Amino acid sequence: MALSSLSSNAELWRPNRQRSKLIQLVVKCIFGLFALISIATTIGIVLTLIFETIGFFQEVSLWQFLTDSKWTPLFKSAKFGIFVLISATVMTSGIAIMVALPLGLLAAICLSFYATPKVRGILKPMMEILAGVPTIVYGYFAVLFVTPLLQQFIPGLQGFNALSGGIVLGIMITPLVASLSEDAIYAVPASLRDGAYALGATKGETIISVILPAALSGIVASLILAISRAIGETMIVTLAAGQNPTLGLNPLVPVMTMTAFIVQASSGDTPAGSLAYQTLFAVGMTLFILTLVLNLFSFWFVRRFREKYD
Amino acid sequence: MTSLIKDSSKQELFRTNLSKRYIIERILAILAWGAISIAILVLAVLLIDILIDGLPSLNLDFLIYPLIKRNGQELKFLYWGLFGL
Repeated sequence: MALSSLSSNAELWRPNRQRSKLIQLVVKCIFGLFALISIATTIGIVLTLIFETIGFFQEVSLWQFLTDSKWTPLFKSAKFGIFVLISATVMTSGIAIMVALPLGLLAAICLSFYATPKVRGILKPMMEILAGVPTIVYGYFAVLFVTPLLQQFIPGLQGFNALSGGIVLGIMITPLVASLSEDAIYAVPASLRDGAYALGATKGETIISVILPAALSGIVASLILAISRAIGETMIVTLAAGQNPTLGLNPLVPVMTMTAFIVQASSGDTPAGSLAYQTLFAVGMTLFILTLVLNLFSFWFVRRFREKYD
Repeated sequence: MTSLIKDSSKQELFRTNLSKRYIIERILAILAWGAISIAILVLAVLLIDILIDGLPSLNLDFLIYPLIKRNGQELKFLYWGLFGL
């Protein structure tokens, strides 16, 4: 009796197992398809960039692209010195990092070590709101608030300038640095912290001598990711830093970043297939390579300097 | 141990280090709280700036007409109420 009931149970179980296998296969296929779509999209973007960039370099030599000191691709006497745009991008991103690194790292330290759980519960969502503000709003904030404020202290500051764009860009990436640095700090085992306290170290000494060195790879990775974000940022620099392609590192004058040029050229009547059109892709490719190199460096740094604890 | 305590110069050294350690501790705490305060202050300024610049340019009359009669004071209150929501 018992045996027969067992066999009937087994009969019941067998079709279910087949069904679950089938469901698993369907789920696998769906997930695989979505993964394939994202990979195919990336490949498509890269291929589009490559083909149009090849077209651009058939007209303009790589030497001219890298060494010319002027950027006027939409003019009759076109000049294609990409370093004009790279210098502006590096300058605004550099200013942004000078703002975001101390602010973000110290905010992460404050949230991890000094804030009580209750205060942390209030401050962390506020930081997340800062991360969620649309970049166009930051752009207006830079033009209408930060620039007039800076002009009171720096009389020679022009209406559009790299300084206010860079500062607001830094404010925008501060929550990113803070959030990723906080994650890196939390990844440090509690035993290290407790060990430092047991040896008589103060909170500050524990942070400076134990926690920060142990979390260094994560902190540097967060910084590099923030730089990538700053380099690719468009609206803030387009609105606040102006659209004047000048080679130099003076933050008080208007400049044109790579993204600002792409906005300017895309919003005009650029005929498809023309040299001006292909210039967009050449700049896009440069931007892509720059951020890719930074991201690869970040991955390498994390792997190379990651502290492993059992 | 006894010699350490008796040695006044070492006692002095220990005291100096203590005060130095305390100062570094306080500076780090002030910097950490200062950084998060700046971030929150920027958020507050950003929101206030948007409200002050944006509010007068908004025309919410179409929402207000069915609710109350046109009365300066009440309208102002309702503007803020709607924004609060």
